[in-house]
Amino acid sequence: MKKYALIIFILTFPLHFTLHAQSPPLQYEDEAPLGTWNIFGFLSARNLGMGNTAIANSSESSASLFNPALLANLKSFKASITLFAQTSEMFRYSLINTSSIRSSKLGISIFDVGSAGFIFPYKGFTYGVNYFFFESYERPDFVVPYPGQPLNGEFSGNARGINLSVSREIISDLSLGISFNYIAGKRYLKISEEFGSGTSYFDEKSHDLYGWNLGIGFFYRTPFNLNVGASIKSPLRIKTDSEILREFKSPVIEIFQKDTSKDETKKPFLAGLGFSYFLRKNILISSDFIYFPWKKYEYFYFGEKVERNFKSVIEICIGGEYSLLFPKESLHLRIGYFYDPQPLRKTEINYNNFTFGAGVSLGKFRIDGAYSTGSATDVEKISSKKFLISIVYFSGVNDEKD
Amino acid sequence: MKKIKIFLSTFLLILVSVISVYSEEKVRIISFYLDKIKPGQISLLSQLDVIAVGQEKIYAIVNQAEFRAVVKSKFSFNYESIRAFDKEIALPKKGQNGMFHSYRELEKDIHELEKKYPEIFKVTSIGTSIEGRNIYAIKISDNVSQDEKESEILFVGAHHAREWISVEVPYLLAHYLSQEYSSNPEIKKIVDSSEVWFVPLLNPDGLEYSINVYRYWRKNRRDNGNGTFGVDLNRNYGYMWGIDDKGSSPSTYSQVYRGKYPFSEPETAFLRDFMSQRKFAAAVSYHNYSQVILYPWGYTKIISKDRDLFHYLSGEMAKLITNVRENTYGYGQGSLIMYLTNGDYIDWVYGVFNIPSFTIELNPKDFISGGFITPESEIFPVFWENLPAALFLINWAVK
Repeated sequence: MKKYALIIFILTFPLHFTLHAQSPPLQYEDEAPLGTWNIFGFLSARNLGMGNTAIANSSESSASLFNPALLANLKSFKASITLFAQTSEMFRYSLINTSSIRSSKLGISIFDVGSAGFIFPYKGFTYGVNYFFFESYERPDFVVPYPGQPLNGEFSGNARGINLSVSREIISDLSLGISFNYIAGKRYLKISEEFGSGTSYFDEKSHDLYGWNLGIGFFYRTPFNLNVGASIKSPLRIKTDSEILREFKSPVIEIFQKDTSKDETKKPFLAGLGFSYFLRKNILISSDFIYFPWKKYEYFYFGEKVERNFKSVIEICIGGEYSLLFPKESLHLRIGYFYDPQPLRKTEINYNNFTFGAGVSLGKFRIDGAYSTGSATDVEKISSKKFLISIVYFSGVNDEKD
Repeated sequence: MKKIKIFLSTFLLILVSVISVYSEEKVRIISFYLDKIKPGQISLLSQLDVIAVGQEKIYAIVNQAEFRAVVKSKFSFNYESIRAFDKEIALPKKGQNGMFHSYRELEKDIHELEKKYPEIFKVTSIGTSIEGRNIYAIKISDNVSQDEKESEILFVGAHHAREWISVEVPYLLAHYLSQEYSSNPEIKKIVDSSEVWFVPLLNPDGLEYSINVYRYWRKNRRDNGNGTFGVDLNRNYGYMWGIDDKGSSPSTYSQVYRGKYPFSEPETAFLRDFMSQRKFAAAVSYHNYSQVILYPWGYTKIISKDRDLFHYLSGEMAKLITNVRENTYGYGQGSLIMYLTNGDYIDWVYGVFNIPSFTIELNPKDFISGGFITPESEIFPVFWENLPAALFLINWAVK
C-alpha cells in the first residue's frame, strides 16, 4: 500500500507547484478561450502524457471525444474521470492597460473536472456517454486603484459539453464510430468604475452559448502492429444570446443602454489523423496530426462580423509509453511532445510543449497523471503548463493488455 | 402636468404621422419656451403654424423656408421633431454602440450616400489604421470628381475613441449637405462654391475597442511593446511635438502618450499626407465633452498672431450654437481656457498651414452630465445645435 501511496504522490507532485497555461495575447480577449485555441476534445492524463496523442491511441471513455471509432476496441464497461488544474498567465493582457493594468503578468487558476463518462458494449455496438469541459473564459478579476476612481473588472464563464457516441467494428479490424456533441456555457464580463461624487459607470455583458456538432471516426488495426485512426468533426456553430447593459449614473443624469442580440460563432470543421505503433508489447509510440482550418472561423457579435484574420494551423503531436507489466498490476511511463501553433497572424505564437506522464494499473483501476510544459517560440515570456489526473475503472478486461 | 405631457406627446406623435402621410413638404416641429418669447418674436410666431400650446412651450410646424427664417432670426428655439431629416436618416439602431456608428456601419452608410448622391458625394480612403481599417475621407462638392479651385474646409471626427458623438456630427453634417443640396438653395450655393471634406472617423481601431471592450478607451491601438497599448493621436502631430511633458507624456501608460516620434501613427501620418496635398482654408476637429471651442495655441500660453481672427470666428460659432437651444458654448485659446496640449491637431494645422483651426468640444458641459457618454437621444440635437456654426465656418472659408 505504501508503494501505491508513493506512486500517487509522485503523480500529483506537480500540483504542489504553480501551474501555468498559455494565453494568446489577443487584442480582443473577451471571446478567446483560456489556453490554446486548438481544442479537439478534452484529453485524458494518459493521452496528454503521450504528447497529446489520442486519435489512434485512447483507452478510456474520453476516447470518443477524439475518435469515436476507438470505442469499438474497448470490450467491457469502463468509467473514467479526469481532473485538471491550470494557472494561466497573460502576457500583454490588453483589456485595459492605460495607466492601469500594465505589463505585469496576471494569473488565474482553474481546477475543474475535465471529463467524466462511461462506455459499455451492447449487442455488437459500443456506446459512450461523456461529460467534458470545453472552454474556459475565465480572466483574472482586477481592481485598479485610480486615485478616487477605482476600476473593477470581472470576467468569468466556461462552456461544457455532453458527448454521445456509438461505435462498431464494421469489418475485421476496421471500426467506425459516430458522435454527437452538445456544448453549452455562459460568458460574463463586467467593467465598473466609480468616479466619485456619486458618479459611476458600468458595462455588463452576458452571453449564453449553445451549439452542437457531429463527429465521425475510423480506426484500422493493420497486421503490422500499426494502428491508424482518422477523425473529422463537423463545424461547430455556437449560438449566443447576448445581452449588454450599460449605465452612467450621476447626480444629474442617468444614461442607460440595453440591448440583446442573437449571435453566432462558427468554429470550422476539424480533421485529425493518428497512428500508434507497438515497438514491443510494452512499448507504444503514437502520433497525431490535427488540422484546424481557422481561416474559415467566423464570429458575429451584435449583428456585426468581427474580423479575426486567422490562419489555418496543424498541430503535430508525438509520444510514447513504456509499460512495466507485472502479473497483477502495471506501471506506465510516458513522454511526448506537441507543437501547438496558434491561429493569430499578427502576433505569431507557436508553442513547443513537452509532456510527461505516469500511470499505474491496480486491479480494476488505473490512475494516470500527466504534466505538460510549453513555451512559445516567437513571443518572449509566454509559457504553458498544466496538470491532469485521470482515474479509470474497468469492469472486465483491461484492453491495454490485449 | 404629467398627463398633459403625455397627452401633448401623443398628440404630436399622431400629428407627425398624419403629416407624414399627407404632406410631401419637408416638415419640422420646433418649440419656443413661453417665458422666453420676446416681443420681437411675436410677429414671427404669428406667421408660423402653431400646433399646440403647452404649459411651458409653444409648438409650431414649419417648412424649410420658415425654418430658415427662424434660424436667421436668431431666436431661441428647440427641435422637437425633424421628420424630413432625422426620420429619414437611418442611424444604427441596435448593438453595443446603439445609434452611434461602428466602423462597419459608418463604412456602409457613407458608401450608400455616395451611391445616392454620386454627383456631389465622394468617398476615398486616405490610408489605413494600425489594424488595417480604412480611414475614410468624404468630399462634398459639385463636380465632385474634379479638383476645382474652390475653397476647401475639413471636419475631422474621433481623434479619441471614446468620443462617439464626434463621429456623428461630421457624418450628419455630410449627410445634411448632400440631402439638402437639391432642395435648399443656401446649401446648394455652399456646396457649389466649396469643397467640404470630412474625415468622420480618424481612429477606427480605438472606436472599435471602445465599443467592444472598454467604453472609456481613448487612444489608438498601437502595441507599445511593453504591455501597454495606444498613442494619443491628438498629441502625435509634428508641430511642437513633445515640447514639454505637461501637454503630453512620454510614458506609454499615459492617456496622453504622444508616441515615439511625430506622426509615428499611421492615422496621423495619413491625415498629414492628405492635408499636405490640398489647400484647406480652415479645419475643425470634433471632440467631447465641455461645450467649448478652442483655438491655437495649445502648447503655449502665448497669444498667437491671428488670435483676433480666431476669437471672432470661434465667438460667432459659439453664439450660433448657443442660440439653438441655449446650451452655452464657451470659446478661447486652448492653453488658456482648458489646459496645455502639445503635438495636437489644431496647433499643427495652424503652425504648418497657417489657417484657422478649431477644436469643438461637443456636449455635455461636464463629466457629471455624462462626460464622454452621450445619450442616443442627444445625437440629432447636438448635430442641429452645431450645424449653424459649421455652415458659418464653411461660408467664411468660401468668402
